[in-house]
Amino acid sequence: MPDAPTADQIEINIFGPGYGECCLIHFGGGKWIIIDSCVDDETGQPAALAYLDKIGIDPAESVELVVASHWHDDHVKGLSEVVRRCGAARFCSSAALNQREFVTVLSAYDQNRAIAAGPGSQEMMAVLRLLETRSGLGSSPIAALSNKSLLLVDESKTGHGFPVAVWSLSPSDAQFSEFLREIGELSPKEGGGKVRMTATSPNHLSVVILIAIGPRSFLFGADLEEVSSKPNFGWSAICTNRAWPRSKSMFFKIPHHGSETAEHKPTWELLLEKNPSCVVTPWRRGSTLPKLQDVERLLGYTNRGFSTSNCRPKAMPSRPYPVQKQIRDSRVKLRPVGLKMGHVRIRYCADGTDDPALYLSPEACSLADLRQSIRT
Amino acid sequence: MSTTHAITRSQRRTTEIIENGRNEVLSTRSRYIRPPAGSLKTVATLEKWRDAVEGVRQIPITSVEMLPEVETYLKGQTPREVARATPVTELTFDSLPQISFDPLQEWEGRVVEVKDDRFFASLLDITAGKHFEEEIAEFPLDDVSDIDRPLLRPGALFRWLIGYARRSSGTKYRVSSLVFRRLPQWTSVDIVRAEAEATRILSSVKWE
Repeated sequence: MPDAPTADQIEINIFGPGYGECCLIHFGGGKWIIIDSCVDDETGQPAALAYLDKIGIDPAESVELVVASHWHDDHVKGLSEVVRRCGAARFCSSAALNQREFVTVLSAYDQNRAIAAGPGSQEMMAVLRLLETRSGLGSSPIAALSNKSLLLVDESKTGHGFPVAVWSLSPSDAQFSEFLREIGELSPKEGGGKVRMTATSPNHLSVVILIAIGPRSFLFGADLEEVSSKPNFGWSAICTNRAWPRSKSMFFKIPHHGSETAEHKPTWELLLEKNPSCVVTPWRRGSTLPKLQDVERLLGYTNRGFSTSNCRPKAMPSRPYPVQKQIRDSRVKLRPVGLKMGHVRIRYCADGTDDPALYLSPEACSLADLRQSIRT
Repeated sequence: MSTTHAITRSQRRTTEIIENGRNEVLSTRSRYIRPPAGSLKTVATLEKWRDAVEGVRQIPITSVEMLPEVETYLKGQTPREVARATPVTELTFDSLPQISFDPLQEWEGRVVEVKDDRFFASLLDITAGKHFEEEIAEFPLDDVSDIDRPLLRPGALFRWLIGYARRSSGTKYRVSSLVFRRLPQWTSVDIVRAEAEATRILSSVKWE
Protein backbone atom coordinates (compact mmCIF):
# COMPACT_ATOMS: atom_id res chain seq x y z
CA MET A 1 0.00 0.00 0.00
CA PRO A 2 1.47 3.39 -0.95
CA ASP A 3 2.06 5.90 1.80
CA ALA A 4 0.60 9.37 1.95
CA PRO A 5 2.96 12.33 1.48
CA THR A 6 4.01 14.25 4.56
CA ALA A 7 2.59 17.74 5.08
CA ASP A 8 5.73 19.40 3.77
CA GLN A 9 6.03 17.30 0.61
CA ILE A 10 4.72 18.25 -2.79
CA GLU A 11 3.40 15.28 -4.70
CA ILE A 12 2.45 15.18 -8.37
CA ASN A 13 0.49 12.16 -9.57
CA ILE A 14 -0.39 11.63 -13.20
CA PHE A 15 -2.75 8.80 -14.12
CA GLY A 16 -3.57 7.64 -17.57
CA PRO A 17 -4.57 6.70 -20.11
CA GLY A 18 -7.25 4.25 -18.83
CA TYR A 19 -10.06 6.20 -20.32
CA GLY A 20 -8.53 9.66 -20.17
CA GLU A 21 -6.05 11.27 -17.85
CA CYS A 22 -5.97 12.82 -14.41
CA CYS A 23 -3.56 14.90 -12.34
CA LEU A 24 -3.67 14.74 -8.55
CA ILE A 25 -1.48 17.19 -6.67
CA HIS A 26 -0.66 17.43 -3.01
CA PHE A 27 0.40 21.06 -2.54
CA GLY A 28 1.17 20.74 1.16
CA GLY A 29 -0.56 20.63 4.51
CA GLY A 30 -2.62 17.59 3.52
CA LYS A 31 -4.47 19.53 0.81
CA TRP A 32 -4.98 18.37 -2.75
CA ILE A 33 -6.00 19.54 -6.20
CA ILE A 34 -7.53 17.31 -8.87
CA ILE A 35 -7.27 18.27 -12.52
CA ASP A 36 -9.52 16.22 -14.83
CA SER A 37 -10.64 12.69 -14.22
CA CYS A 38 -10.05 9.31 -15.75
CA VAL A 39 -11.23 5.88 -14.77
CA ASP A 40 -9.42 2.62 -14.64
CA ASP A 41 -10.70 0.29 -17.36
CA GLU A 42 -10.37 -2.62 -15.02
CA THR A 43 -12.15 -1.23 -11.96
CA GLY A 44 -14.30 1.55 -13.39
CA GLN A 45 -13.15 3.77 -10.48
CA PRO A 46 -11.99 7.37 -10.90
CA ALA A 47 -8.22 7.13 -10.57
CA ALA A 48 -7.76 10.07 -8.19
CA LEU A 49 -10.36 8.81 -5.73
CA ALA A 50 -9.00 5.28 -5.85
CA TYR A 51 -5.52 6.58 -5.02
CA LEU A 52 -6.70 8.81 -2.18
CA ASP A 53 -8.70 5.92 -0.75
CA LYS A 54 -5.61 3.74 -0.94
CA ILE A 55 -3.45 6.13 1.02
CA GLY A 56 -6.16 6.81 3.56
CA ILE A 57 -7.08 10.36 2.59
CA ASP A 58 -10.69 11.50 2.79
CA PRO A 59 -11.38 13.51 -0.39
CA ALA A 60 -14.38 15.19 1.20
CA GLU A 61 -12.11 17.18 3.49
CA SER A 62 -8.76 17.20 1.75
CA VAL A 63 -9.45 18.27 -1.82
CA GLU A 64 -9.53 22.04 -2.23
CA LEU A 65 -10.04 22.38 -5.97
CA VAL A 66 -11.39 20.20 -8.79
CA VAL A 67 -10.63 21.43 -12.30
CA ALA A 68 -12.22 20.20 -15.50
CA SER A 69 -9.78 21.34 -18.15
CA HIS A 70 -12.37 20.75 -20.89
CA TRP A 71 -15.39 18.56 -21.55
CA HIS A 72 -13.91 15.97 -23.91
CA ASP A 73 -14.51 12.36 -22.92
CA ASP A 74 -10.89 11.64 -22.15
CA HIS A 75 -10.69 14.31 -19.44
CA VAL A 76 -13.96 14.02 -17.57
CA LYS A 77 -14.69 10.30 -17.14
CA GLY A 78 -15.82 9.89 -13.56
CA LEU A 79 -15.73 13.64 -12.91
CA SER A 80 -19.23 13.80 -11.44
CA GLU A 81 -18.24 11.16 -8.90
CA VAL A 82 -15.11 13.16 -8.08
CA VAL A 83 -17.15 16.34 -7.55
CA ARG A 84 -19.72 14.45 -5.51
CA ARG A 85 -17.12 13.02 -3.13
CA CYS A 86 -15.02 16.17 -2.88
CA GLY A 87 -17.75 18.06 -1.11
CA ALA A 88 -15.57 20.88 0.21
CA ALA A 89 -13.71 21.51 -3.05
CA ARG A 90 -14.37 24.40 -5.37
CA PHE A 91 -15.11 23.41 -8.92
CA CYS A 92 -13.46 25.12 -11.84
CA SER A 93 -13.93 24.78 -15.57
CA SER A 94 -13.79 26.99 -18.59
CA ALA A 95 -16.46 29.65 -18.80
CA ALA A 96 -18.32 27.53 -21.37
CA LEU A 97 -20.29 25.94 -18.58
CA ASN A 98 -21.92 29.21 -17.65
CA GLN A 99 -23.03 29.86 -21.22
CA ARG A 100 -26.73 29.25 -21.69
CA GLU A 101 -26.31 27.92 -25.24
CA PHE A 102 -23.77 25.33 -24.21
CA VAL A 103 -25.72 24.15 -21.18
CA THR A 104 -28.79 23.84 -23.41
CA VAL A 105 -26.81 21.63 -25.78
CA LEU A 106 -25.57 19.44 -22.93
CA SER A 107 -29.03 19.17 -21.45
CA ALA A 108 -30.66 18.30 -24.77
CA TYR A 109 -28.26 15.46 -25.44
CA ASP A 110 -28.42 14.28 -21.87
CA GLN A 111 -32.20 14.29 -21.49
CA ASN A 112 -32.68 11.83 -24.28
CA ARG A 113 -31.12 8.66 -22.90
CA ALA A 114 -32.38 6.75 -25.93
CA ILE A 115 -29.18 7.99 -27.46
CA ALA A 116 -26.09 7.05 -25.60
CA ALA A 117 -25.03 10.64 -25.17
CA GLY A 118 -21.32 11.17 -25.21
CA PRO A 119 -20.01 10.45 -21.75
CA GLY A 120 -18.28 13.84 -21.73
CA SER A 121 -21.55 15.70 -22.04
CA GLN A 122 -23.25 13.35 -19.58
CA GLU A 123 -20.53 13.90 -17.00
CA MET A 124 -20.62 17.66 -17.37
CA MET A 125 -24.39 17.70 -17.06
CA ALA A 126 -24.18 15.53 -13.95
CA VAL A 127 -21.64 17.98 -12.51
CA LEU A 128 -23.92 20.95 -13.26
CA ARG A 129 -26.84 19.25 -11.52
CA LEU A 130 -24.64 18.58 -8.51
CA LEU A 131 -23.56 22.20 -8.43
CA GLU A 132 -27.21 23.20 -8.59
CA THR A 133 -28.00 21.15 -5.49
CA ARG A 134 -25.11 22.82 -3.70
CA SER A 135 -25.90 26.34 -4.75
CA GLY A 136 -26.02 28.67 -1.79
CA LEU A 137 -24.32 26.12 0.45
CA GLY A 138 -20.70 27.02 -0.19
CA SER A 139 -18.37 28.81 -2.50
CA SER A 140 -19.28 29.29 -6.14
CA PRO A 141 -17.68 27.45 -9.03
CA ILE A 142 -14.98 29.33 -10.87
CA ALA A 143 -14.99 30.10 -14.58
CA ALA A 144 -11.41 29.78 -15.76
CA LEU A 145 -9.93 32.32 -18.14
CA SER A 146 -6.40 33.36 -18.96
CA ASN A 147 -4.47 34.93 -16.10
CA LYS A 148 -7.11 34.20 -13.50
CA SER A 149 -6.26 33.40 -9.89
CA LEU A 150 -8.15 30.30 -8.74
CA LEU A 151 -6.78 29.57 -5.30
CA LEU A 152 -4.51 31.24 -2.77
CA VAL A 153 -3.33 29.44 0.35
CA ASP A 154 -1.48 31.23 3.08
CA GLU A 155 1.98 29.89 4.03
CA SER A 156 0.75 29.16 7.55
CA LYS A 157 -1.57 26.45 6.20
CA THR A 158 0.66 24.63 3.76
CA GLY A 159 2.90 22.63 6.05
CA HIS A 160 6.09 23.68 4.27
CA GLY A 161 6.03 27.39 4.94
CA PHE A 162 5.51 28.53 1.35
CA PRO A 163 2.34 30.17 0.03
CA VAL A 164 0.47 28.43 -2.76
CA ALA A 165 -1.14 30.16 -5.73
CA VAL A 166 -3.09 28.44 -8.48
CA TRP A 167 -3.72 30.19 -11.79
CA SER A 168 -5.57 29.38 -14.94
CA LEU A 169 -3.58 30.50 -17.99
CA SER A 170 -6.18 29.78 -20.65
CA PRO A 171 -8.49 29.91 -22.54
CA SER A 172 -7.74 33.28 -24.03
CA ASP A 173 -10.50 35.74 -24.84
CA ALA A 174 -10.05 35.00 -28.53
CA GLN A 175 -10.40 31.29 -27.96
CA PHE A 176 -13.52 31.78 -25.91
CA SER A 177 -15.08 33.93 -28.61
CA GLU A 178 -14.32 31.22 -31.14
CA PHE A 179 -16.00 28.66 -28.93
CA LEU A 180 -19.16 30.74 -28.71
CA ARG A 181 -19.31 30.70 -32.48
CA GLU A 182 -18.85 26.92 -32.51
CA ILE A 183 -21.71 26.22 -30.14
CA GLY A 184 -24.12 26.67 -33.01
CA GLU A 185 -22.71 23.58 -34.73
CA LEU A 186 -23.43 21.47 -31.68
CA SER A 187 -26.94 22.76 -31.10
CA PRO A 188 -29.77 20.34 -31.91
CA LYS A 189 -32.02 21.55 -34.69
CA GLU A 190 -35.70 20.76 -34.69
CA GLY A 191 -36.34 17.99 -37.21
CA GLY A 192 -32.70 17.00 -37.35
CA GLY A 193 -31.76 13.41 -36.64
CA LYS A 194 -30.38 12.63 -33.22
CA VAL A 195 -26.87 11.29 -32.98
CA ARG A 196 -24.48 10.84 -30.14
CA MET A 197 -22.78 14.08 -29.20
CA THR A 198 -19.28 14.04 -30.59
CA ALA A 199 -16.36 16.24 -29.73
CA THR A 200 -15.37 17.54 -33.10
CA SER A 201 -13.96 20.89 -32.15
CA PRO A 202 -10.30 21.39 -31.35
CA ASN A 203 -9.16 21.76 -27.79
CA HIS A 204 -9.58 25.53 -27.82
CA LEU A 205 -11.13 25.73 -24.39
CA SER A 206 -8.53 23.71 -22.52
CA VAL A 207 -7.68 25.19 -19.16
CA VAL A 208 -3.94 25.24 -18.51
CA ILE A 209 -3.12 25.36 -14.80
CA LEU A 210 -0.07 26.79 -13.09
CA ILE A 211 0.57 25.91 -9.44
CA ALA A 212 3.13 28.14 -7.77
CA ILE A 213 4.47 26.90 -4.44
CA GLY A 214 6.91 29.42 -3.06
CA PRO A 215 9.70 29.78 -5.61
CA ARG A 216 8.71 26.63 -7.50
CA SER A 217 5.99 26.16 -10.03
CA PHE A 218 4.34 23.31 -11.84
CA LEU A 219 2.61 23.55 -15.21
CA PHE A 220 -0.28 21.34 -16.32
CA GLY A 221 -0.85 21.65 -20.05
CA ALA A 222 -4.24 19.90 -20.43
CA ASP A 223 -4.95 19.46 -24.17
CA LEU A 224 -4.06 22.95 -25.25
CA GLU A 225 -2.82 23.02 -28.82
CA GLU A 226 -0.97 25.65 -30.76
CA VAL A 227 -2.63 27.48 -33.65
CA SER A 228 0.28 28.90 -35.57
CA SER A 229 -1.82 31.28 -37.62
CA LYS A 230 -3.48 32.81 -34.56
CA PRO A 231 -1.19 34.49 -32.03
CA ASN A 232 -4.09 34.99 -29.61
CA PHE A 233 -4.72 31.26 -29.43
CA GLY A 234 -3.01 28.36 -27.76
CA TRP A 235 0.44 28.46 -26.26
CA SER A 236 1.38 31.64 -28.11
CA ALA A 237 -1.33 33.51 -26.23
CA ILE A 238 -0.05 32.17 -22.91
CA CYS A 239 3.55 33.13 -23.64
CA THR A 240 2.69 36.66 -24.70
CA ASN A 241 0.06 37.55 -22.12
CA ARG A 242 1.70 36.53 -18.90
CA ALA A 243 0.38 38.17 -15.76
CA TRP A 244 1.08 35.46 -13.20
CA PRO A 245 4.30 35.05 -11.15
CA ARG A 246 7.07 34.66 -13.67
CA SER A 247 8.97 31.77 -12.17
CA LYS A 248 9.78 28.99 -14.59
CA SER A 249 8.18 25.64 -13.95
CA MET A 250 10.16 22.61 -12.91
CA PHE A 251 7.39 20.23 -13.92
CA PHE A 252 5.31 20.02 -17.10
CA LYS A 253 2.32 17.80 -17.78
CA ILE A 254 2.85 17.66 -21.50
CA PRO A 255 -0.20 18.91 -23.39
CA HIS A 256 -2.39 16.89 -25.72
CA HIS A 257 -0.63 13.57 -25.36
CA GLY A 258 2.61 14.96 -26.72
CA SER A 259 1.16 15.70 -30.15
CA GLU A 260 2.89 17.88 -32.70
CA THR A 261 -0.12 20.20 -32.68
CA ALA A 262 0.66 21.11 -29.08
CA GLU A 263 4.34 21.76 -29.76
CA HIS A 264 5.49 25.32 -29.09
CA LYS A 265 9.19 25.87 -28.60
CA PRO A 266 8.89 29.27 -26.85
CA THR A 267 6.84 27.58 -24.13
CA TRP A 268 9.83 25.38 -23.31
CA GLU A 269 12.13 28.38 -23.31
CA LEU A 270 9.97 30.93 -21.50
CA LEU A 271 7.82 28.93 -19.11
CA LEU A 272 9.96 25.96 -18.16
CA GLU A 273 13.25 25.38 -16.43
CA LYS A 274 15.92 23.64 -18.45
CA ASN A 275 15.54 19.87 -18.39
CA PRO A 276 12.24 19.89 -16.49
CA SER A 277 10.48 16.83 -15.20
CA CYS A 278 7.75 15.97 -17.71
CA VAL A 279 4.98 13.43 -17.97
CA VAL A 280 3.05 12.49 -21.08
CA THR A 281 -0.20 10.52 -21.15
CA PRO A 282 -0.39 8.49 -24.36
CA TRP A 283 -3.61 8.16 -26.36
CA ARG A 284 -4.52 5.07 -28.33
CA ARG A 285 -8.18 5.44 -29.23
CA GLY A 286 -8.55 6.22 -32.88
CA SER A 287 -5.47 8.34 -33.37
CA THR A 288 -2.12 7.35 -31.90
CA LEU A 289 -0.28 9.82 -29.68
CA PRO A 290 2.53 10.42 -29.12
CA LYS A 291 4.11 9.24 -32.34
CA LEU A 292 7.75 8.23 -32.50
CA GLN A 293 8.82 11.64 -33.78
CA ASP A 294 6.91 13.29 -30.92
CA VAL A 295 8.79 11.27 -28.34
CA GLU A 296 12.10 12.10 -30.00
CA ARG A 297 11.19 15.78 -30.02
CA LEU A 298 10.33 15.67 -26.31
CA LEU A 299 13.58 13.89 -25.54
CA GLY A 300 15.34 16.87 -27.10
CA TYR A 301 13.94 19.03 -24.30
CA THR A 302 14.44 16.77 -21.32
CA ASN A 303 16.00 13.57 -20.11
CA ARG A 304 13.62 13.54 -17.16
CA GLY A 305 10.53 12.69 -19.13
CA PHE A 306 8.11 9.92 -18.29
CA SER A 307 5.07 8.31 -19.74
CA THR A 308 2.12 6.85 -17.85
CA SER A 309 2.09 4.00 -20.36
CA ASN A 310 4.68 1.99 -22.20
CA CYS A 311 2.18 1.81 -25.10
CA ARG A 312 2.33 -1.94 -25.45
CA PRO A 313 -0.91 -2.71 -27.20
CA LYS A 314 -3.61 -4.63 -25.44
CA ALA A 315 -4.20 -8.12 -26.73
CA MET A 316 -7.29 -8.73 -28.80
CA PRO A 317 -10.00 -10.24 -26.66
CA SER A 318 -10.34 -13.98 -26.98
CA ARG A 319 -13.52 -14.92 -28.83
CA PRO A 320 -15.09 -18.18 -30.04
CA TYR A 321 -13.74 -19.52 -33.31
CA PRO A 322 -16.97 -18.94 -35.30
CA VAL A 323 -16.91 -15.27 -34.29
CA GLN A 324 -13.29 -14.86 -35.31
CA LYS A 325 -13.95 -16.58 -38.61
CA GLN A 326 -16.99 -14.42 -39.32
CA ILE A 327 -14.97 -11.27 -38.60
CA ARG A 328 -12.37 -12.41 -41.13
CA ASP A 329 -15.01 -13.39 -43.68
CA SER A 330 -16.73 -10.03 -43.26
CA ARG A 331 -13.52 -8.20 -44.24
CA VAL A 332 -13.80 -6.09 -41.09
CA LYS A 333 -10.50 -4.92 -39.66
CA LEU A 334 -10.64 -4.94 -35.89
CA ARG A 335 -8.00 -3.69 -33.50
CA PRO A 336 -7.89 -3.04 -29.77
CA VAL A 337 -7.76 0.53 -28.56
CA GLY A 338 -6.76 2.01 -25.30
CA LEU A 339 -3.95 1.11 -22.99
CA LYS A 340 -3.74 -0.17 -19.48
CA MET A 341 -3.75 2.71 -17.03
CA GLY A 342 -0.43 3.65 -15.49
CA HIS A 343 0.71 6.01 -12.77
CA VAL A 344 3.69 8.35 -12.47
CA ARG A 345 4.33 9.93 -9.09
CA ILE A 346 6.97 12.53 -8.30
CA ARG A 347 7.53 13.76 -4.77
CA TYR A 348 9.39 16.97 -4.13
CA CYS A 349 10.78 18.29 -0.94
CA ALA A 350 9.35 21.82 -0.84
CA ASP A 351 12.60 23.45 0.19
CA GLY A 352 14.48 21.73 -2.63
CA THR A 353 17.05 20.05 -0.38
CA ASP A 354 16.44 16.50 -1.69
CA ASP A 355 16.17 15.08 -5.17
CA PRO A 356 12.63 14.32 -6.27
CA ALA A 357 11.49 10.77 -5.52
CA LEU A 358 10.03 8.98 -8.51
CA TYR A 359 7.56 6.12 -8.59
CA LEU A 360 6.50 4.42 -11.83
CA SER A 361 3.76 1.81 -11.91
CA PRO A 362 4.54 -1.30 -14.02
CA GLU A 363 2.70 0.22 -17.00
CA ALA A 364 4.65 3.49 -16.86
CA CYS A 365 8.12 4.10 -18.21
CA SER A 366 10.67 6.74 -19.11
CA LEU A 367 10.38 8.60 -22.43
CA ALA A 368 13.50 6.78 -23.62
CA ASP A 369 11.82 3.45 -22.94
CA LEU A 370 8.66 4.68 -24.60
CA ARG A 371 10.66 5.50 -27.72
CA GLN A 372 12.07 2.00 -27.72
CA SER A 373 8.63 0.49 -27.18
CA ILE A 374 7.11 2.43 -30.08
CA ARG A 375 10.00 1.45 -32.36
CA THR A 376 9.50 -2.21 -31.65
CA MET B 1 -45.32 -9.79 -57.71
CA SER B 2 -43.17 -10.97 -54.89
CA THR B 3 -44.23 -13.86 -52.75
CA THR B 4 -43.86 -12.04 -49.54
CA HIS B 5 -46.52 -9.58 -50.51
CA ALA B 6 -48.80 -12.25 -51.87
CA ILE B 7 -48.62 -14.39 -48.78
CA THR B 8 -49.00 -11.51 -46.41
CA ARG B 9 -52.07 -10.23 -48.13
CA SER B 10 -53.60 -13.63 -48.26
CA GLN B 11 -52.78 -14.40 -44.68
CA ARG B 12 -54.49 -11.28 -43.54
CA ARG B 13 -57.51 -11.79 -45.65
CA THR B 14 -60.63 -13.29 -44.33
CA THR B 15 -62.76 -14.62 -47.09
CA GLU B 16 -66.34 -15.38 -46.85
CA ILE B 17 -67.22 -18.41 -48.81
CA ILE B 18 -70.77 -19.21 -49.58
CA GLU B 19 -71.03 -22.88 -50.26
CA ASN B 20 -74.13 -24.97 -50.45
CA GLY B 21 -76.08 -22.13 -49.04
CA ARG B 22 -74.08 -21.98 -45.78
CA ASN B 23 -71.86 -19.12 -44.66
CA GLU B 24 -68.41 -20.32 -43.76
CA VAL B 25 -65.51 -18.19 -42.76
CA LEU B 26 -62.10 -19.08 -44.02
CA SER B 27 -59.33 -17.40 -42.14
CA THR B 28 -55.72 -18.06 -42.85
CA ARG B 29 -55.05 -17.06 -39.29
CA SER B 30 -57.39 -19.59 -37.74
CA ARG B 31 -56.46 -22.40 -40.12
CA TYR B 32 -59.87 -23.88 -39.70
CA ILE B 33 -63.17 -23.88 -41.46
CA ARG B 34 -66.19 -24.34 -39.35
CA PRO B 35 -67.91 -27.20 -41.09
CA PRO B 36 -71.67 -27.58 -41.10
CA ALA B 37 -71.55 -30.91 -39.29
CA GLY B 38 -69.87 -29.37 -36.25
CA SER B 39 -66.52 -31.21 -36.36
CA LEU B 40 -63.33 -29.33 -37.16
CA LYS B 41 -61.67 -30.00 -40.46
CA THR B 42 -58.13 -28.91 -41.14
CA VAL B 43 -57.85 -26.94 -44.29
CA ALA B 44 -54.88 -25.89 -46.22
CA THR B 45 -53.55 -22.47 -45.42
CA LEU B 46 -50.86 -20.54 -47.21
CA GLU B 47 -48.59 -21.25 -44.31
CA LYS B 48 -49.06 -24.95 -44.70
CA TRP B 49 -48.70 -24.64 -48.43
CA ARG B 50 -45.35 -22.99 -47.95
CA ASP B 51 -44.25 -25.76 -45.64
CA ALA B 52 -45.33 -28.26 -48.21
CA VAL B 53 -43.35 -26.59 -50.95
CA GLU B 54 -40.33 -26.56 -48.75
CA GLY B 55 -40.87 -30.22 -48.04
CA VAL B 56 -40.80 -31.02 -51.74
CA ARG B 57 -37.96 -28.78 -52.73
CA GLN B 58 -35.95 -28.82 -49.50
CA ILE B 59 -35.55 -25.07 -49.68
CA PRO B 60 -37.62 -22.33 -48.17
CA ILE B 61 -39.90 -20.26 -50.32
CA THR B 62 -39.58 -16.55 -50.37
CA SER B 63 -40.70 -15.58 -53.80
CA VAL B 64 -43.68 -16.91 -55.68
CA GLU B 65 -46.26 -15.43 -57.89
CA MET B 66 -49.80 -14.98 -56.90
CA LEU B 67 -51.55 -17.38 -59.20
CA PRO B 68 -55.12 -18.59 -59.45
CA GLU B 69 -53.99 -21.86 -57.91
CA VAL B 70 -53.52 -20.10 -54.61
CA GLU B 71 -57.10 -19.09 -54.60
CA THR B 72 -58.00 -22.66 -55.54
CA TYR B 73 -55.85 -23.89 -52.70
CA LEU B 74 -57.62 -21.66 -50.28
CA LYS B 75 -60.76 -23.41 -51.15
CA GLY B 76 -59.46 -26.75 -50.00
CA GLN B 77 -56.98 -28.34 -52.37
CA THR B 78 -54.18 -30.25 -50.78
CA PRO B 79 -50.99 -28.36 -50.16
CA ARG B 80 -48.76 -30.63 -52.16
CA GLU B 81 -50.86 -30.24 -55.28
CA VAL B 82 -50.72 -26.50 -55.03
CA ALA B 83 -47.05 -26.58 -54.38
CA ARG B 84 -46.32 -28.50 -57.52
CA ALA B 85 -48.50 -26.14 -59.46
CA THR B 86 -46.91 -22.96 -58.22
CA PRO B 87 -43.72 -21.68 -59.74
CA VAL B 88 -40.93 -20.52 -57.49
CA THR B 89 -39.10 -17.45 -58.68
CA GLU B 90 -36.30 -15.15 -57.59
CA LEU B 91 -34.99 -17.36 -54.88
CA THR B 92 -31.82 -15.82 -53.48
CA PHE B 93 -29.77 -16.74 -50.47
CA ASP B 94 -29.93 -13.32 -48.92
CA SER B 95 -33.66 -13.12 -49.07
CA LEU B 96 -34.34 -16.42 -47.38
CA PRO B 97 -36.53 -16.06 -44.33
CA GLN B 98 -34.72 -16.39 -41.06
CA ILE B 99 -36.78 -17.94 -38.33
CA SER B 100 -34.34 -17.72 -35.43
CA PHE B 101 -31.09 -16.07 -34.52
CA ASP B 102 -28.64 -17.15 -31.84
CA PRO B 103 -26.18 -14.32 -31.22
CA LEU B 104 -22.61 -15.25 -30.44
CA GLN B 105 -21.21 -11.75 -30.26
CA GLU B 106 -22.71 -8.30 -30.03
CA TRP B 107 -21.17 -4.85 -30.11
CA GLU B 108 -22.59 -1.37 -29.90
CA GLY B 109 -20.86 0.76 -32.47
CA ARG B 110 -20.43 4.49 -32.87
CA VAL B 111 -19.35 5.85 -36.22
CA VAL B 112 -16.29 8.03 -35.88
CA GLU B 113 -15.28 8.61 -39.47
CA VAL B 114 -16.68 7.91 -42.94
CA LYS B 115 -14.36 7.63 -45.93
CA ASP B 116 -14.94 6.82 -49.59
CA ASP B 117 -15.25 3.06 -49.39
CA ARG B 118 -15.15 2.35 -45.66
CA PHE B 119 -16.05 3.72 -42.31
CA PHE B 120 -14.48 3.57 -38.87
CA ALA B 121 -16.37 2.88 -35.70
CA SER B 122 -15.61 2.61 -32.05
CA LEU B 123 -17.00 -0.59 -30.55
CA LEU B 124 -18.29 -1.45 -27.11
CA ASP B 125 -18.34 -5.19 -26.48
CA ILE B 126 -21.83 -5.87 -25.15
CA THR B 127 -21.27 -9.62 -24.90
CA ALA B 128 -18.25 -9.18 -22.63
CA GLY B 129 -20.09 -6.59 -20.53
CA LYS B 130 -17.46 -3.91 -21.12
CA HIS B 131 -17.92 -0.36 -19.87
CA PHE B 132 -15.81 1.38 -22.49
CA GLU B 133 -15.22 1.21 -26.18
CA GLU B 134 -12.10 -0.89 -26.50
CA GLU B 135 -11.98 -1.74 -30.17
CA ILE B 136 -11.89 0.17 -33.41
CA ALA B 137 -13.35 -1.45 -36.50
CA GLU B 138 -12.92 -0.59 -40.13
CA PHE B 139 -15.97 -1.72 -42.13
CA PRO B 140 -16.33 -1.86 -45.90
CA LEU B 141 -19.02 0.63 -46.86
CA ASP B 142 -20.65 -2.16 -48.86
CA ASP B 143 -21.64 -3.80 -45.60
CA VAL B 144 -24.14 -1.04 -44.96
CA SER B 145 -27.50 -1.69 -46.55
CA ASP B 146 -28.82 0.96 -48.89
CA ILE B 147 -31.63 1.76 -46.52
CA ASP B 148 -29.13 2.53 -43.76
CA ARG B 149 -26.78 4.66 -45.87
CA PRO B 150 -28.43 7.98 -45.01
CA LEU B 151 -27.83 7.20 -41.34
CA LEU B 152 -24.12 6.75 -41.80
CA ARG B 153 -22.37 9.76 -40.31
CA PRO B 154 -20.13 10.47 -37.33
CA GLY B 155 -22.06 9.88 -34.14
CA ALA B 156 -24.46 7.35 -35.69
CA LEU B 157 -25.07 4.31 -33.52
CA PHE B 158 -25.47 0.72 -34.64
CA ARG B 159 -25.43 -2.83 -33.44
CA TRP B 160 -23.07 -5.36 -34.92
CA LEU B 161 -24.18 -8.93 -34.41
CA ILE B 162 -22.50 -12.18 -35.26
CA GLY B 163 -24.35 -15.40 -34.73
CA TYR B 164 -26.17 -18.34 -36.20
CA ALA B 165 -29.44 -17.99 -38.05
CA ARG B 166 -31.77 -20.87 -38.78
CA ARG B 167 -34.18 -21.10 -41.65
CA SER B 168 -37.55 -22.73 -41.52
CA SER B 169 -36.02 -25.71 -43.27
CA GLY B 170 -33.66 -26.13 -40.33
CA THR B 171 -30.58 -24.98 -42.18
CA LYS B 172 -28.11 -23.25 -39.88
CA TYR B 173 -25.77 -20.57 -41.16
CA ARG B 174 -23.41 -17.96 -39.73
CA VAL B 175 -24.28 -14.31 -40.24
CA SER B 176 -22.84 -10.88 -39.54
CA SER B 177 -25.39 -8.12 -39.31
CA LEU B 178 -25.05 -4.36 -39.04
CA VAL B 179 -28.20 -2.66 -37.85
CA PHE B 180 -28.22 1.10 -37.64
CA ARG B 181 -30.39 2.66 -35.01
CA ARG B 182 -33.05 4.98 -36.28
CA LEU B 183 -33.05 7.59 -33.60
CA PRO B 184 -35.94 10.00 -33.39
CA GLN B 185 -35.65 13.54 -34.62
CA TRP B 186 -35.17 16.49 -32.36
CA THR B 187 -38.50 18.02 -31.53
CA SER B 188 -39.38 21.46 -30.28
CA VAL B 189 -40.31 19.80 -26.97
CA ASP B 190 -36.76 18.43 -26.61
CA ILE B 191 -35.28 21.83 -27.25
CA VAL B 192 -37.69 23.74 -25.01
CA ARG B 193 -37.08 21.27 -22.20
CA ALA B 194 -33.32 21.64 -22.54
CA GLU B 195 -33.57 25.43 -22.59
CA ALA B 196 -35.69 25.32 -19.45
CA GLU B 197 -33.16 23.18 -17.62
CA ALA B 198 -30.30 25.41 -18.73
CA THR B 199 -32.16 28.46 -17.48
CA ARG B 200 -32.93 26.79 -14.16
CA ILE B 201 -29.34 25.64 -13.58
CA LEU B 202 -27.75 28.92 -14.56
CA SER B 203 -30.11 30.89 -12.34
CA SER B 204 -29.10 28.69 -9.39
CA VAL B 205 -25.39 28.26 -9.97
CA LYS B 206 -23.52 31.52 -9.64
CA TRP B 207 -20.14 31.40 -11.32
CA GLU B 208 -17.28 33.48 -10.11
